[in-house]
Amino acid sequence: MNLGKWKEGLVETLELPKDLMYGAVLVSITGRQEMLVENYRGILEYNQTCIHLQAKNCRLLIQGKNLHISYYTNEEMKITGIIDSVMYEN
Amino acid sequence: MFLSIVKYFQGFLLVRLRGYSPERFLNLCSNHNILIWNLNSRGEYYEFYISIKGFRRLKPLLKKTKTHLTILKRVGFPFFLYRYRKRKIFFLGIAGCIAFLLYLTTFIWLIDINGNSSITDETILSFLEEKHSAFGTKKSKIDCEKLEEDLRSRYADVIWASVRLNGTKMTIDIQENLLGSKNHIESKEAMDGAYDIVAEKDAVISSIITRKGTPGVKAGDTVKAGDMLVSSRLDIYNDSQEIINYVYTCSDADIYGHTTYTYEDSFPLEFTQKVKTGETSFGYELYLGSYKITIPPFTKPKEPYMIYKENHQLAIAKDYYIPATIKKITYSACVYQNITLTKTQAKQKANENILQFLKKLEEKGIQILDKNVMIEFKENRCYVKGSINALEKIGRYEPAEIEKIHTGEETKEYESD
Repeated sequence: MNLGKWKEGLVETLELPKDLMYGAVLVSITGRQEMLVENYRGILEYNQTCIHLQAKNCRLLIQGKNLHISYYTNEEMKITGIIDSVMYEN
Repeated sequence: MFLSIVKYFQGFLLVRLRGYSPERFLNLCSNHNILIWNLNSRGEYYEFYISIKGFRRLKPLLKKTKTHLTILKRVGFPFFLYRYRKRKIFFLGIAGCIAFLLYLTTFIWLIDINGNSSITDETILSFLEEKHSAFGTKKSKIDCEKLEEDLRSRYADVIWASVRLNGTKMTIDIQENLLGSKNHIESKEAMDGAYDIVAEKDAVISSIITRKGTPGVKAGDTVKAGDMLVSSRLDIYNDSQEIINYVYTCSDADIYGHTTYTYEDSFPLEFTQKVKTGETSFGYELYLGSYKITIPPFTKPKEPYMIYKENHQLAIAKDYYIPATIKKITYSACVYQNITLTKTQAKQKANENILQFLKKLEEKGIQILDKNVMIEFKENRCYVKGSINALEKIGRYEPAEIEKIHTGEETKEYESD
């Protein structure tokens, strides 16, 4: 607990990139059709209407229609289709 | 775009994945750094693209996750090669073509000459022929520096030359001595020995500034071509004003003189001229080395016509020209028209001609002071006569005749020293 606060303070004062320090997931959505996810761990479930991703300390549920993965590598994945919702789960 | 070309050359597959836990398989793929793209879920199975390299590494993963792969489509260059593996002549042809082009690029196929005005392109081309460096010479046989030197030594007017090879193109840049003649040699120091300055043409001297030598004329004098202007002989006097010795030097002076040019021109007032009607047809000629293929125009050109030819040398890349030329021939139909100039039109034409003449003089560094022109009309012709007063440098170097005097006094002087 104490260590977590200390780390938070350090990141804040040194203005370090948070995605690197916390391993937080980075999501950038372009309109409704395109979505780029970085810093994810793996795919839990994938079909045309939903994609379930595992990140370091949360899960990401993307719902939509005709979901399609353009490419995916260890670092990032690109999802195209019509996105209805993006939901974080613990 | 670039990435897709790379993918094409490496080859990739469209595969269908089905089995117990395809998600686990996909995660394993990303953990093993196997690139997968265009992943699609189609209900019970997944379809995706994968490179050949990646596909070869999949086997243990498939076993682990108990999934199965079926190949739906093979795309890419490796598969193309495999499919046409029996067409040996075809591949031989491709290889032969590339080798032939590479071989052709070791020759000179275009010569570009810049900066020449008094020496014609043909002269330089024949000079190159003589030096075995003309069209179609192997590049390795051309010695640019030697050619530059030869150009300078062969043509006195060339004061600077540069020969470059770019691809199959040879670029020759030369700088000519536009001022011409020995009169204007920049480096006077280079001239050894005694030189007089003599008049180049009839003139009235307007100014003379002598730096070296003995001036023989003064401003206002009338000189004829060949007259001595500045003598290279310096007379050495002794105390009693007697000449005891001559010293010869290379004289150096700026001499300007008024000269007169006569101008004469005549042209008919009535003449026939070809006028284009606007109808054109095109023909083509293709030259492959010395072989010629003619593609005649679709519609036969009407007589009479004017022919205009355009040459395009083909290149496989910038500066990589190959010995193939396309000649575009434009036939422009025309009609003969009788034209009668009115007096004002004729005067205008005469004026244009004179201006052109004056421009040429000015290019030679001659300053035009004034001009006197008469235009006459006689027997349907226009006669133009005039005289032009100009100011220009006159004077030409000529080797001096060296006279020597050995007087008794001279020897005496040496003795006294």
